[in-house]
Amino acid sequence: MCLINVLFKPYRCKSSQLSIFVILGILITILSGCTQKSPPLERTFRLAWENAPKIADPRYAIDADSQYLGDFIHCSLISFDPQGGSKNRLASEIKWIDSKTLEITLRTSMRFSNQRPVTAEDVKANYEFLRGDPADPTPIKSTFSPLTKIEVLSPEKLRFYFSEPNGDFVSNLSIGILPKEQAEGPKIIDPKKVMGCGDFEVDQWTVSHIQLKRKWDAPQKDVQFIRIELVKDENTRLLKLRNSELDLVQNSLNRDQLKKLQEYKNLKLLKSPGLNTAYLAFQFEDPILKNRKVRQAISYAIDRKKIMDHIFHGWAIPAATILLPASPFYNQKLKWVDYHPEKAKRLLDEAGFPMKGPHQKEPRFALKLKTTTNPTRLIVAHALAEELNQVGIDLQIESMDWGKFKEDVDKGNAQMWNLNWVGFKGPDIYRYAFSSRSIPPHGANRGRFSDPRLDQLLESAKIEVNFERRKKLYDQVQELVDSELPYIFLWHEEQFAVLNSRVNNYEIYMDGRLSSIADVSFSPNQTK
Amino acid sequence: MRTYLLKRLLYFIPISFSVVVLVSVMIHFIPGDPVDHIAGDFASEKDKNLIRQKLGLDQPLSKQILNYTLGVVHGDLGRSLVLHRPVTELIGERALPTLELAFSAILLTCLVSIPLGALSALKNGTLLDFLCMGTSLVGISMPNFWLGPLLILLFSIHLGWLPVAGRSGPGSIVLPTLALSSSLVAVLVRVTRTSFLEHLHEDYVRTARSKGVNEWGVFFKHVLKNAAITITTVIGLQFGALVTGTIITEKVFDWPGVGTLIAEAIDRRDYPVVQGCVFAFSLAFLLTNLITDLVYFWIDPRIRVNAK
Amino acid sequence: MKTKHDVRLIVGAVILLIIIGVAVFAPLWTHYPAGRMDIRQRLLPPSSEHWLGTDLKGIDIWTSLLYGARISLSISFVTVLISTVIGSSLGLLAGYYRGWVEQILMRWIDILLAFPGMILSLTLATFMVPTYFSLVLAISLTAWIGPARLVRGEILSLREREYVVAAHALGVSPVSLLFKHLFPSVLPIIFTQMTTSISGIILIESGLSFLGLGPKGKIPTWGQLLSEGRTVITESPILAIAPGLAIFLVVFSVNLIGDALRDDARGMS
Repeated sequence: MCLINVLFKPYRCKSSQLSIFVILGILITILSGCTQKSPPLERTFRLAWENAPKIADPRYAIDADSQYLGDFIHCSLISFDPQGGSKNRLASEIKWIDSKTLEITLRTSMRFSNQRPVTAEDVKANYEFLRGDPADPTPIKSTFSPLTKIEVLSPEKLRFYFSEPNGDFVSNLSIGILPKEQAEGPKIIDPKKVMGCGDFEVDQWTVSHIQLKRKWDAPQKDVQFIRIELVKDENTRLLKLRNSELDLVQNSLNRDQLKKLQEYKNLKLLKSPGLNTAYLAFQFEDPILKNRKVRQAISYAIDRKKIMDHIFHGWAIPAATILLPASPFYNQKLKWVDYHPEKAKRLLDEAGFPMKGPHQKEPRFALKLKTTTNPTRLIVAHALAEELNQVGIDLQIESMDWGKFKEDVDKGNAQMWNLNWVGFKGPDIYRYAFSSRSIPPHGANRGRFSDPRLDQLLESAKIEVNFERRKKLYDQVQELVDSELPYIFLWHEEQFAVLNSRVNNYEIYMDGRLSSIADVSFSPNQTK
Repeated sequence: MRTYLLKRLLYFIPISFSVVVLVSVMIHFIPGDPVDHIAGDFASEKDKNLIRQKLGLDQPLSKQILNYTLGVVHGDLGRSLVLHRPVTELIGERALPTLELAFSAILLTCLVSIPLGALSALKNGTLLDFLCMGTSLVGISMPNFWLGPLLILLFSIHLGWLPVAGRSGPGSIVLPTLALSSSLVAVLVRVTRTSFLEHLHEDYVRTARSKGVNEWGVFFKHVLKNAAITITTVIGLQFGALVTGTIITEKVFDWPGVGTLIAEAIDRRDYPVVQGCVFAFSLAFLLTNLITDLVYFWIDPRIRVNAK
Repeated sequence: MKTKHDVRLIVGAVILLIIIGVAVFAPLWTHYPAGRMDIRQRLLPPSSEHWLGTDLKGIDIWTSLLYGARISLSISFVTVLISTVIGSSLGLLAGYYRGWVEQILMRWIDILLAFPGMILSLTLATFMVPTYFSLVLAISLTAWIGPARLVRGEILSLREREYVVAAHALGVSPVSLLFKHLFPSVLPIIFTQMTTSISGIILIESGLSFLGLGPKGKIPTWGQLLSEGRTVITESPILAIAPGLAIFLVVFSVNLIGDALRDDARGMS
């Protein structure tokens, strides 16, 4: 054949060499489409996310995407219903024996991927790790510090002992449970090795997609596979929806496009109020931002209504604090900040930052806002810059990849940034975000805000069991946050889901989780 | 013959070594302090020093070169500053998609431009020739980050024939290949045409014609063989443009290859990943040049004779 | 034959001059200040107030295109100028003096050529603070090679010519030989090379801007506009088409002119 002749008579080879080349080429091109085995369309739910979940180990999964993934592959003592209320999942019963002791009874039907049932020993191992002091502690360790002892009474029953009464603790029991051997070990880097007790397990995990498979046959459920495409580009997500290549994209789309999307017959739009709050954060170690008048001025300088109308097309309500007005702990006396540029200018003058230059036309000072590449957040950032420009602040915008953004912000390498809190459950979020003990990696106080009065209030509220007294304490917390302004609260965005019309029974959860996917049904023959 | 081979291989080694050395100290050629830029504003001195340590900048130059070279030999290209994973692993999981794309682009280019260039040469001076040349000029002038979205607008959005982006399903490779190969095809059509034109009027062709060999026979046996040298050279040279084209095309089409890796690393200012990709691409480039040299060595007996 | 290149030359030159003219006199052609955003006017379709509509931030697209032209074109022209001057000088010296100067230059070029395409420029641009001049520097880094090789090659052939040998024998100083005789002879080649390289450089500049490496000011370059346009391709296809069309027209017209000049030169020799 040619390959043998190639050494002696290459000029005889030309056309046959070429044809081998051609055949090989065609083969590879065909194979490229077939390298990933795609599961059957009628049993697969396809969705797209902007960012890949960092980690599948539930002890370290604190970002929203990792938690949403955890919902499918892990089971936790409690879970949440669409309205954000907690419900038992792994636990069949949770009750306080006395003010400092919690007794948990487990369901016997939950199993790990290797068929082994989940026992109290497993639960104990997980929570021991969370409250303990391993080489690489979990970022939520401080939440579990009041937990002093865990006692196993039987394979289905265990008790948690606390150092002090802890009214809120039950909502923290939403961490996925690993088998004992894994729970005692180090952080699991390879997602495929994680053994969860949820309904699904990781089938494929590549750079461009994650595929989950239902662990045990459930013929009455339509969804057997969940395929999460990782699509960084917003426009591509939109186009894939249009082309019926996806069944769901939730929240990570530009609201400008939503109006148009409703015209397509193969798509439907669902809306729901969301447990989220957009905010502008400050770095308290910065000399300019340390000054409260500056922060107040910035708050008055922003025309929230204009932004909500034109960027969110009215799908947002103004925010006065992290909690939503519907929360039982919401301080009803809080007022939404008015747009008042004159007041802002005055405050800045008073703070000692007059307009500069010969005609007082030059900006007073410059600030840098870091943001992500999310298009909506980026436009908001630009809009904020434009507003601040009007009062004489030169705001520079730097948009960066999510991974770097998070790192920079956690390390305190940012002057200002804008972000959203999503899926917070109760008023304990104030401690997680503003306590001086919550500076990363021990919490989310990225701005290094420190106020001893607030710390005191937060500590008292944490151990308060009586609802009325707790509410009073948290009311004071909210007022203090409102006057000290570690954040400027912007708005609460409404959630929306764009679904392919073949999907039925999908429900949007208040905290943004996607648990509803597992129970969805497909209308037959409706994929275009 | 063997001496030519040996010479070629021997030349490959010092050049690759120079590439390794240059890549290992590349950062020193960047004006300003790149560590400042990598760490970003408001980074503490402590953070910056940590980065310097991770990049090996706190060591003398010779040690940096040595460490990187040893690393290369052992297949270790450092670790990503942001993802904390080995660079070789990151490149490895994305190599296949990029190779697929590059391969299909080259394939398409050869399949399309050689016949077109030949046709153009044979029908020199006619309207067809003029159209081919005009289209090729358009192809060379078109940035492929413009062509890409245009193709998406037409074929995915408007007509709905092909998937929008990403690498899933057999049709998804079509649009990226088209976008990537556009300028390649354009260049190669011209080169092929010129090369054929030059050879069509040579003596040996006239001799063959006079002997009664038919037009197509003449074409295939003689002209193609000789033109193949020029064509192969051009493909080798164009590989450089292919690399940059790949980075841009992968970004436009969300194709999970090494191109998107380097584009993301640029966004994150992840120096080790960029450094590793530069090395990988350069190595691939040098290897391709070596292969093209060897290929046209096989093709053309005259070179073998001359080398003797 | 002659009529064919005249057409190309004329068409190319006309297109190019129109674009440059509009860019230079940008404020005449639009009443919006550069980069003025108004979120109340986001994503509007073309109208009499906004000839090409507005983008995601409410900035008039036609205005962005005009001011962006200034930046993109000037970066490219400055880069071509700098790289040609540096490259030609180096090539001149290498070709004339030969010896170790030439050896170092040639080895250096070989090594630089081992890096495919614009990957070195990309690396440089990524890790420098992104400004106008950082982009110029990054591109010039590889762009000087073309003129250098060309000029060196030309000098190598010229120096063997009779008049050079004669001048040498007569004792004419090498410096004056270089400047008075050799340099003017290579000028036409340098000029033709410039027209070839400028189209490549415009594409590289917009490519690097597209990847996010351009100067970050209020005024986006064409590459950056195109990058933004990609994200709103369904709502504002104009933003995805117009800047690309502009780049295409400039490159196309330069290529037309270059083609015409090359054919002319070939015809003459």
